[in-house]
Amino acid sequence: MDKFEIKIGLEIHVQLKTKSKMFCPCKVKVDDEPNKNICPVCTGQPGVLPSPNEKAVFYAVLVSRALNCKIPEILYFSRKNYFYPDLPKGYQITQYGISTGSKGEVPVIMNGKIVKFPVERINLEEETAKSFHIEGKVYLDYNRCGIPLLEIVTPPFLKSSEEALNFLKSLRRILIYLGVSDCNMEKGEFRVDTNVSVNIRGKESHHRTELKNLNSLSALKESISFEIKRQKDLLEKGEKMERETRLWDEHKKETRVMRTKEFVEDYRYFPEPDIPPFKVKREWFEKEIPVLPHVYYQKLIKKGAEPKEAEIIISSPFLSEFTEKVLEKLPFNRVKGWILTEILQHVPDVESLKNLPFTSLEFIDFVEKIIEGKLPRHMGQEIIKRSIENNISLKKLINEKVEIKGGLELERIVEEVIKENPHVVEKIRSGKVSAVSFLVGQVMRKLKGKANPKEVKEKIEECLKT
Amino acid sequence: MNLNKEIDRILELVRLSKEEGKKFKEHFSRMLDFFRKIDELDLKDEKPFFYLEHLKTELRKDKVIEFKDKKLLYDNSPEFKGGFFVTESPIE
Amino acid sequence: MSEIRRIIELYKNKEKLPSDIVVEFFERAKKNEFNSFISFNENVLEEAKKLDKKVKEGKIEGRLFGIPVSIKDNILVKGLKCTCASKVLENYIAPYDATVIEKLKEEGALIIGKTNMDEFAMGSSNEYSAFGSASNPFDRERVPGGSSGGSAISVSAGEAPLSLGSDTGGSIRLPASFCGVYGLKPTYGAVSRYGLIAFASSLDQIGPFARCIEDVEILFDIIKGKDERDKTSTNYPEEEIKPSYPLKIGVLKDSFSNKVEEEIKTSLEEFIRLLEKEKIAQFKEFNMETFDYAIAVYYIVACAEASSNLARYDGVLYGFICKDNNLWDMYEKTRTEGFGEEVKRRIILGTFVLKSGYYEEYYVKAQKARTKILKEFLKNFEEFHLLLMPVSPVLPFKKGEKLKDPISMYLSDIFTVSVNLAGLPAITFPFKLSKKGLPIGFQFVSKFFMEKLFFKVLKKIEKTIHG
Repeated sequence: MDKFEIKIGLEIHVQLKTKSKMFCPCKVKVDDEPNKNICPVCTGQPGVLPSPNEKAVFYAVLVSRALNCKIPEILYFSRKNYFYPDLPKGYQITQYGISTGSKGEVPVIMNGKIVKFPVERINLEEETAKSFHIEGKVYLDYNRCGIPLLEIVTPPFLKSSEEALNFLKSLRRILIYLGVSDCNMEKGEFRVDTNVSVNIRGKESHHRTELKNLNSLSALKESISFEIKRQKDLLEKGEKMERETRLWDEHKKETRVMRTKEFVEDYRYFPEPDIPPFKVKREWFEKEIPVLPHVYYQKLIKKGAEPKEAEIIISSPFLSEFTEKVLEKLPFNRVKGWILTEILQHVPDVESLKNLPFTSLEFIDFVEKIIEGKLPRHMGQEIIKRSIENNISLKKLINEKVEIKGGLELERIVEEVIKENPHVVEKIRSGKVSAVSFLVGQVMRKLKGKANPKEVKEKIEECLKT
Repeated sequence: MNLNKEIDRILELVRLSKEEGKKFKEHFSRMLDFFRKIDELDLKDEKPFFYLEHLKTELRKDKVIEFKDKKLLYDNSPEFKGGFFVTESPIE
Repeated sequence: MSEIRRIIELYKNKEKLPSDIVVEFFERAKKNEFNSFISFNENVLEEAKKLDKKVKEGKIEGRLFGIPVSIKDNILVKGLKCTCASKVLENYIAPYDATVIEKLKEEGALIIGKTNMDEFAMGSSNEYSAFGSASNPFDRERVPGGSSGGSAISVSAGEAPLSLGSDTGGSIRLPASFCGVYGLKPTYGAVSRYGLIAFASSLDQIGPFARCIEDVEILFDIIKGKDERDKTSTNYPEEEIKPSYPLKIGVLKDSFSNKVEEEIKTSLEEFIRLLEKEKIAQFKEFNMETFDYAIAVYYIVACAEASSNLARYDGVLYGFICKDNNLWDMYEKTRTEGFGEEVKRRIILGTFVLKSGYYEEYYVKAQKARTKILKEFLKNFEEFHLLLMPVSPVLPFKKGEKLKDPISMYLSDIFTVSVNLAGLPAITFPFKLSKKGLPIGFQFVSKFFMEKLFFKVLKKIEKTIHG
């Protein structure tokens, strides 16, 4: 048994993609002209009152349902009181004492298996303003202030940076599948704070390091690994550790103590008097939860996909659904190349998978043609490329190709025409090259004009060589 | 309870100067005695009031409404530069 | 006689124009004899002239068409300063109209100015204003009551026929009583708080001041109603009230305690005898176990909510700022210098009762006592239609009398705070003048949404007393 016990807990903040803010009807658009999407409510003017957004509550309930949380019948909000320039009211409206969802679990895909990790609570709250610190001053943009925020907190059950990474990847994927957030970490839509605590097995300890605001999942994994090693080293030396907050230095690849203010807050939580309790609507529970990534994953594995292959496919909910439909008609090994290599190499990003210019049925048809030999492989590759890059449907391109470069169809007609006109062929072979145009005309007549004359000429010449 | 320590801690939390503590200590102590009177009531079967029974929040539909008088918000601020509200940075 | 009706009649008969009426009131108000106003709406004459046109065209629309109204300076009127009688907001210009103001404007009302008050509505005498204390029109050495002192004065002294104030622990009812006018604190939730600078969110209500009960009713009718922007506001039930006389009215036993001035007690007895004689009501004494505890409960709950509501005054987005290169020092200096003493006292108390370790013992306990207070009221309403009690234990007191001891000031509210804690409606009505010529008023309390009963009964009583 390992000498050390490792406990990692995560606190994730997710911006919900509602149209309007959590407590006022301002537009949710962070990257806009600064202080454009603001009003008296989200700037905490005297006399204003909060008006909770139904969609945000719906999303919070949806996430809670998807993660198998307990959801109370009645919800209310609380105030968290503290001073900071990005907090206009001097308090944040959040949830305390009651959560939208509690004691749930996240299905995490790890090492080819599905493992469930616990979630402690899911709270609905509001975002703070965006700050830019320049030369001792802070420049505040309240466009972000008041956007609905979902806080997801786990107990310290994770035991390695790998587990933490997989947990977050899976959670992010689930939230994207539910359509509640785009979870773009660079834009700050998905932020993670981590608590790491290592102790010698059998010797309880109360220290804990908080790692704040890591900007990417890879930085997160590295910083957790570093922190675990750092704590292990200190424990080996018998040194005492305190509760502290540390920042990750991306260049030096180490964690550094954040200069802790002497100040310890007391948030003085109390129920928000401006928002009486409200019922969680029963009809929301009747709405079906979208199929979650791990369900698709399991189906793909069953159909013969390798774990790595399945994970690539489930990175997009559109691709998952698409592939599932395709696999209803075709075996995995026949389509995997076309999906994993051909489609994915041509789409600019995962998002554009929702705009594929063909349906799963068209795609099935396409692959079937290739399987049946009606469409050569190399042509198929070109067709997929053109389809995605130029936004043309597969069906259209297939029809064009079959008729023009047609492969087999054109070849057949050309051979027919050659057979039917032996003296013209003789003339061509003895040097009257211009006679090729007569044969081109014959081919065109048989194809009812649906061919490219240049390509027909090339084909004829090709066939005559043999 | 160390009254002075309590008051100092409170002044810290509400961002008021420590000088205020001396002014208010007596009043504060009298008010606490006054508050303790409530212990005379039998409250063991009571639920805390928090919200009036006849009030229930009706949630707002997710629709955007633009606030047109943003300039009035900018104009009230002590410092507004380049489209941003400006104040001292909390970071040293 | 209803001022509203009188004035609108003058317009209908084309005897006077809105600008004439506004000039009359505005000039009197501007003299500011009693320091009842903090600021004036310099555009009001221009606004009145627009209505003059309508009178000439015969288009008199709106229940408050061309009626001047004064507004307590904690209710936002767009474009006008809204100071809350505090240095912290001395130059703040309201960027939006409170919902009640939108409603007044829709009905054609003309706002003449913002009235003086205790800073952040915290006080019972209007002596805690950053813009100087106000005076009682009946005796300038005495206080007008608070916190809506200026509103009560303006109506009492004829500076405006109507006013809107706010009541958290008696702040409409006490000054109404001290100034000899009507003041209504509506059922909690009946009137939108959007645009009312918050003191204690679960207790605050906006309400009307007027010199006759009919005007109180008209004004209340206009401002009441559910507001999407205030989730604590609710629809007002429209059922008709048909009181059957004599009503059963309970008289609070503590009305006759030794804490109450003699003249108030004798006047109360006189009032009771009058109503019994006229067969308007039958009276019976009732006791409230929670009466002695209401002030303590009130101060715990109100200060707690206030300490949180006043955190936004930090010099960042608006308001007074004491500049400093260090943010935390800036916060401290701004708030220490900006807030008055009473406000700071309450913020400190309120923060204490919410602190971890004390939250259960003080705040939660007070909220439990509050439930008990409401239950006691409701139990009494099983027997009575209305409850009667004094508004204040003392007649309007002299300025400075209660400043040395804040707790003595708090005790002015013993008859008013429990009503706010329960969320019930209550109304001050003027009864008579004392031997020294000071107004004596009393208070009716009723069940939720029973304001119509006040109006019906008081119309009857008004006729009886004033003929």
